[in-house]
Amino acid sequence: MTDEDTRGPAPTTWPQLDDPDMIERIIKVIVEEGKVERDKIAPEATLQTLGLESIEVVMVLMGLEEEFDTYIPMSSDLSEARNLSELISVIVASMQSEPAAPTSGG
Amino acid sequence: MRKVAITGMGAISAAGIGVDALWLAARDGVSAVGPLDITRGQSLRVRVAASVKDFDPASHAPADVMRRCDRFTQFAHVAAAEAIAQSGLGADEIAGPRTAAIIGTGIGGMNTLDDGCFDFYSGVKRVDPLSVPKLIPSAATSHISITHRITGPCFSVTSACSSASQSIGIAAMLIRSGAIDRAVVGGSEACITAATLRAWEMMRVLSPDVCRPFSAGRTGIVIGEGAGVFVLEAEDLALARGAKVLARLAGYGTTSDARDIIQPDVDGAANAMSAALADAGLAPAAIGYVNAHGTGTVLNDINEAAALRQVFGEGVGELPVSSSKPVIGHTLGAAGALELAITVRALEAQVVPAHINFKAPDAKCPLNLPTAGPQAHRFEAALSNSFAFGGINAALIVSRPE
Repeated sequence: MTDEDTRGPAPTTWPQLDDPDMIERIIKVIVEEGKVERDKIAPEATLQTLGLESIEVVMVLMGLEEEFDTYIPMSSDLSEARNLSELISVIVASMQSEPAAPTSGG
Repeated sequence: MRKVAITGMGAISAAGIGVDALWLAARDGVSAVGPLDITRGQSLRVRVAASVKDFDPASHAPADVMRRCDRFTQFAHVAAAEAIAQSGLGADEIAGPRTAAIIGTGIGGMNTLDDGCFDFYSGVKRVDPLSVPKLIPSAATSHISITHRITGPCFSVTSACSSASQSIGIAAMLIRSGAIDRAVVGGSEACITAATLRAWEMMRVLSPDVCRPFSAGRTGIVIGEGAGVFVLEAEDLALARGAKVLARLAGYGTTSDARDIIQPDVDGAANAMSAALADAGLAPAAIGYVNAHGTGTVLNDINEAAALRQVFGEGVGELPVSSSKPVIGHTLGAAGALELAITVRALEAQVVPAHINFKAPDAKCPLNLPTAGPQAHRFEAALSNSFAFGGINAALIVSRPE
C-alpha cells in the first residue's frame, strides 16, 4: 500500500472478543477450508504468508458463513485488512452488524 | 454527419412507473430499496432489494398479451409505451423498416427460467408451454417489434451491466450511418429470484443492508430491476416534424478490458469515456456532470474513481459525480438506460442528483460527490458510465439541444 494509512501500526495480538471461543472456531475454518498449516496461523500472518489465493479466501468465507449462519460481504474494510488479526476483527464485526432479517415474505 | 436526438423516454423501476417517479427519487435521493419479498427465498441471507412493487401487467396491456411475456418483457413494454407517447410519433410513423428496436438485457427471462426449472425438477411435467419464447433474451425486443410493427433491425444486446448502454450506443451509430431513421432502445432486467440472489451472495458483492458508492465502509450492491427505453431519432427528421428534442445523444464509446472476467481495469474504463468524448467532439472540460456506474463494490468504485481521474485529470476535483444505484439498486442490463434517463433529466433541470448513503470519504475514491443533496448546476453536457462483469465498458454523453 502506497497511500497514507491513518490506522496506526497493524495489531500483533488477537482481537478481544466477547466470545473467546470464536477465534478458535474461525481459525479452524481457515485451516480446513484454506488448507493452511495450523502452525502458520498467527495474528500477524497475512494472506501472502499463509499462501491463500483468492479462491481459497472464498472457500474460507463460505465455510465461515456455514459455521456461523451469517453473510460476509466483500467490504472495503475486509479488503483493507492488513493481517489475520484485523481480518478476524472485520469478519466478527460484519457478523454482528447484520440487520434483523424480515421473518415473513418467504 | 447526422445528429441523434432523444425525443422520448420511459422508465419503470423500484421508484415506480414513469420517468417522473424515477427522476424525483434520484434527484432527491429517496431510496426505493426495501425488504426482499419473493417466493422460495427463505434460505437467503441477504434480505434487501430494489424491486418493482405491486406491478400489475394487465393494467398496461391486455392480460392475454402480458401472460405471454416474462416480467422483463412486461417492464420493457411499459417503458416503451411511455417513451413512444412522449416522442409524439404516430403509430404509422414508428412502424416500418426505417425503425429499429434494440432492448438490452443481462439475463433475459430469469423468472420464467427459474419457475420452469423449479417446476420441472420438482416433478411437474406441465411446464409453461411458452417458456422458450418468454425467456429468450431477445423476447423484449421482439415484443416491442410486434406491438409497434417495427420491421427494421431488431436484436438484443447482452453484455451484463453494459447491455443497455451498448444498445443505445449501437442504435445511435445506426441512425448516424443512415441505415435507420429512428429506434426504440434501452434495457430491461427482472432477475430477482431466489437462486439468482444466492449466486450473487456467493460472489459476496451483495450488500446486506445499504449501497454506499465511493464511501468508506461500503459493502457492495443492492440488486434492482426495471426497464428504461428511449426513442432516438435522426435530429433533422425530429426537428422537421416539430418534435421536442429532450437532449442530443452526442457521444458513445465502448471498450473491452480483455483481461479478467471479474476484476475491472482502469484503462478499459477510461478508454471508453475518452472514446465517448472523442465521438462527441468534446473536451473533458465540457462535461459538467457524471452519472457514475458507482456500484458500491470495493473494486468498481476504486477503479472508476481512478479512471475518472485518468480522463479528467485534476479537473475531476470540480466535476460533480453521483451514483443512482443507492436509489434504484443495480438494475444490471437496464442500468445504462435508467441512469441515462436520470442524466437527461438532470441536464434538462440543470440539477445534479443527490449522492446518498455516504458515510465517510475513501482515500481511494477522491471524487466531488453531492452528498448534501441535489445541487443546482449549470452544464451543457453529461456522461453516464456502465462497466460490466466480463470487462465490457460503455460510456454515453448527452448534451443540451441546440
